[in-house]
Amino acid sequence: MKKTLVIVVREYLSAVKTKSFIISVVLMPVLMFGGLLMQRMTRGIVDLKDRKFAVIDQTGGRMFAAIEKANRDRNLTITKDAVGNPKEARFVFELVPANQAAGPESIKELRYHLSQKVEKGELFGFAEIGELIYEPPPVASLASAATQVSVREAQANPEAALKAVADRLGDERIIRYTTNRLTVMGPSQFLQRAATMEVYKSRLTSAGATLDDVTMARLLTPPMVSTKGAVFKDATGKLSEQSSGGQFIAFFRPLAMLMLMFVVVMVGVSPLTTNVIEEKSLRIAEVLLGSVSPFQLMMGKLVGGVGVALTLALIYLSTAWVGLRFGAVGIDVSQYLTLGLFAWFCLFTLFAALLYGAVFIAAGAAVTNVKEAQSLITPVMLLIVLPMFFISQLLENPNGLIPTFLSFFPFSAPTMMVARMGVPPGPAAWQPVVAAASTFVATLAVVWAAGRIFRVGILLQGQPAKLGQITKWIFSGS
Amino acid sequence: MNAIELTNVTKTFGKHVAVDRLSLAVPAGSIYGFIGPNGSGKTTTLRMIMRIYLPDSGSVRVLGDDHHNALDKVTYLPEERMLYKSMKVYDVLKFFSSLKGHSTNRAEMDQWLARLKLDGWGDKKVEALSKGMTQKVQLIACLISKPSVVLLDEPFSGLDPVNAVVLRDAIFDLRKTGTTVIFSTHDMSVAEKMCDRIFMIYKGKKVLDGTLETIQQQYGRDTIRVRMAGGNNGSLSGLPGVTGVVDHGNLQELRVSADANPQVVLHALAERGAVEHFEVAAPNLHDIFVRIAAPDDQQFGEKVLA
Repeated sequence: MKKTLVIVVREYLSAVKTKSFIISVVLMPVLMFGGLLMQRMTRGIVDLKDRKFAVIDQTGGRMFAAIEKANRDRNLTITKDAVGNPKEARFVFELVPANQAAGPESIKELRYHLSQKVEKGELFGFAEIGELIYEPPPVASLASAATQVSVREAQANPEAALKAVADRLGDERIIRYTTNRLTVMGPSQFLQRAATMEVYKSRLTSAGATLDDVTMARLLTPPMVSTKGAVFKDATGKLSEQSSGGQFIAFFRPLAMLMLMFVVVMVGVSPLTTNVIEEKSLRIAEVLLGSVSPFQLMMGKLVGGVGVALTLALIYLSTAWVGLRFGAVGIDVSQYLTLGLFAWFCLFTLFAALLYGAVFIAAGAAVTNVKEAQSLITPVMLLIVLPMFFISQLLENPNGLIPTFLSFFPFSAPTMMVARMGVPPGPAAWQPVVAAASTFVATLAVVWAAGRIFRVGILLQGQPAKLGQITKWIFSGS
Repeated sequence: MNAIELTNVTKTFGKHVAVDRLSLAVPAGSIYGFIGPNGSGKTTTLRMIMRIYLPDSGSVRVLGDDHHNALDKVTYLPEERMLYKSMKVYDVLKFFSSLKGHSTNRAEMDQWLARLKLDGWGDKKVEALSKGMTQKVQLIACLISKPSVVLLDEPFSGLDPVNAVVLRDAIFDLRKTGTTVIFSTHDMSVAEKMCDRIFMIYKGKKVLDGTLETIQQQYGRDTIRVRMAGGNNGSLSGLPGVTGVVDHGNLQELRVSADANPQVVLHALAERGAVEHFEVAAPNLHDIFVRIAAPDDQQFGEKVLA
């Protein structure tokens, strides 16, 4: 035990006293969350060059006039920053003469011509207004088995039904917007707003309601739905509502916990593979095995690595706590980082570090150089990042089939279970207990198997072990 | 009392028998040389003594004990060993000493460093040391815990003559304090000069074990070293009773059969030319090694000179 402790201390200190550890402590969150921060910081920096659009208006210029008017209003109301620079680029719309687009062949030619201009950067995009754009779309007639929209659904929620059948509407019933900047949503959203207002106005006027523009705009302003967190009782029994940052935290917390566990496991225990390979190749392992048993050596390395992982977790969590408590957010930390959640996080981090640490050590023992180790480690890495592939399912429905299954599967349980616990209201109380128990049993089994692999592999030189050989080491011991 | 006792020890790796029913007793306080060709089982035997490998059968007793605990009094320096590069020398020494249950202090470490002419290097990282310096630090790491038995696998390989003398002196100092030293070597002259007893293993089996004298006695005085005026000009072939000749350039060695008469050989040589040197001797350890490890080697055949 004392000798194992000697190895634990060496492993721990050799990891945390290095410059690379200090750099990774600082760098990891920067890499993980720096992107978000940069986005926020550079939000004000936009391309202010005028964005030109061509409009082919099949309504005889009626819709173009409405778009032009809406655009004038938009350009006049673009807000400016502290030094007087506009925060968005101006839009400029130009009407393409109608006679250029007569007949199906010539419209294709015109589209090609305009697309060339878009390619050259002379235009940002171009829009084609269908001649029947003012008519209510015949959603009900398009409702069929093929579109999976029933007539009843089309009548009850025409907007949703319209989206379902949009591809079946002819060009005459839509505004066709073409651009090569598909990720820029601003222009299409502007066109949608401007055309919606114009079409509503036209239909209301046809129905006999003659209203001025301001009244029309006021009447067509939709009601607001605002999402809030649950009401809870605080320590004094007082009923409280979550603060305005609640929704953001509820969304951000599971992601942060998932990423944090991933980071601490990667930084804390993944270096164990190269560490074991180094000791093998330098024949240090042989000297160590003259003093301790292979299992003591492996446990010393494993516990040292787990110590590094937990140190990292503690650094990040305490920084997060201090940041939330005293930082700009200034919210009640206990509401988001409860002692219970903190304890579960630490326990699952411990299991994850032990489980993966044992695998990393066994991988190092079974190979003779870092290159060979990569092929063994890659599948393990995939297991660690597995929960990340299901983030959307996790946020949408944390108690759904996939998140629930992954939170009980030992290799993904630690990350997935804490992530699920981070999404309010969290899983049933028994679930973390069962997940912890199953992970604990799996951890014991993996550590045992790793010990068997390590015992034989640590003295292996020359050829790396094949999978069949490794299996033999586990079950027959040599 | 024996420091190490191996009784009928066998170790196999797959189908390969690395050590075959080996029995060996290493007296306490002796310097014991392990010799044998590459792959003959020397390192496997050393590893079994250190319990790095467990034998398939037979028993290994270290300092009268067959448990792991006795190994606190035994240190081992493997061949081609290195140290943690990013650790400081003091930390390395402290670490290896602690693993043997020995608590060392700065004064003791400085004493060792001074003894091996490494004064002032304790605070430096291993990566800053030269190869020779690193080897000295390895030796200190092996000896600082005051072991009763020291196992050194090829300790002289790669050492320059100055460091080889430092190591040799350190081994003799250990003997003075009653420490048992076992080392393996390919340098037969080192084994001849330094070891109280020599053990040779070949294809996993013990083929020699004893003092140099007793080993040589097994082979008798079957070697004649001669030097002919004008060098070897083919005058050594077909001598009566000579079964093999090896040419060392300035000196030729003749191996004679058990019933051969050296006087008859001398007479025959004198008839063929002027004899400058004639010596009847026992075979040295190198010859014995070659005879065992390469019995069909052509170097003692007449064909060499034919």
